[in-house]
Amino acid sequence: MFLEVNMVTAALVIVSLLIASSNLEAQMKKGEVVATVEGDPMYFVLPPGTIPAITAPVFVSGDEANRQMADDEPVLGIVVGNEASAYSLWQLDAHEIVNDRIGDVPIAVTW
Amino acid sequence: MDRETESYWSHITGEALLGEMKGKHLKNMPAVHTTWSRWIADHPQTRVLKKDKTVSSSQYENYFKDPDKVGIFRAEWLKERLPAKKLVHGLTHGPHALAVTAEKLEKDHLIQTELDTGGVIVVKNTDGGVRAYSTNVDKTTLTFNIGDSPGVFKDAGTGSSWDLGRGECTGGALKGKKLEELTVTAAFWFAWSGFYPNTAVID
Repeated sequence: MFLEVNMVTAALVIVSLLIASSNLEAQMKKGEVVATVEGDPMYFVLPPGTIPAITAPVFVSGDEANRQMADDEPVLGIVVGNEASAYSLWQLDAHEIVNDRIGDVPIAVTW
Repeated sequence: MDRETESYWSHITGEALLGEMKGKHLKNMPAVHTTWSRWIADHPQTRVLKKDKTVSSSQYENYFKDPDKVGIFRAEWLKERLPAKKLVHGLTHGPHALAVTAEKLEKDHLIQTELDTGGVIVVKNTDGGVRAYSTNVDKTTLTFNIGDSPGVFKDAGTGSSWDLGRGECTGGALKGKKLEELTVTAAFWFAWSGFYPNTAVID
């Protein structure tokens, strides 16, 4: 996946797009320090939940997907055991995380 | 952030950085970036995440194209070994990190190298995805060459045929053997080298 990770001099800045609620962060402004991680600042970007993670994903078959996908549409694909699963990156732009399960393996698909 | 404990997790390393879960690791699972037409051709039985009706393009096209847009804030990257927005395929092997530029992989199709933790191979497969494997099998490091047909590779030692889309030997003396798959991440150089400042580079 492509990262939105920033370097500020020698400090590692982890930009976290938050999905859970937290009262403190609801009042923060872009660029404020949320916390320090091993000496490095973590900067606030957006209030939690602004980019909604998918928690109950719905899937369609390849045939049905063919009707809504462009040939060159970028996808993230994973094979777990015998099961193949694909996620459009254009769809993930708006959600960033899919809480999914393939077989009995719970996974977080992140973008 | 997980909803259960509100701990913060790095989506590159899979490690919890803050909160109750600090120090715990999620298992990284190999996945690929490719195009829809190539994925469905290789995986006709795939299930596909249903899209919202309005989704028909990327929201980040300008960000991907602009070499001066580096992260959300004005970023300064540690290593000027490569341009900030150069796309690399990054993997870790034990304590080592390795970045292969997308261009180098496109040109050579197959990149092999040996780290002191063992041999690794990075390949672009018929479904368009980039995969990486450890090349150590039964205490031997295998060396691969491109085979006679698309998606087929051969090891130099025994001439066995391998499907490196699945990391499996499909014919010859080593038939049935499997390579251990490694997670490889597509990232911009500034981001990969931010997490792994000592990364090796193949370009």
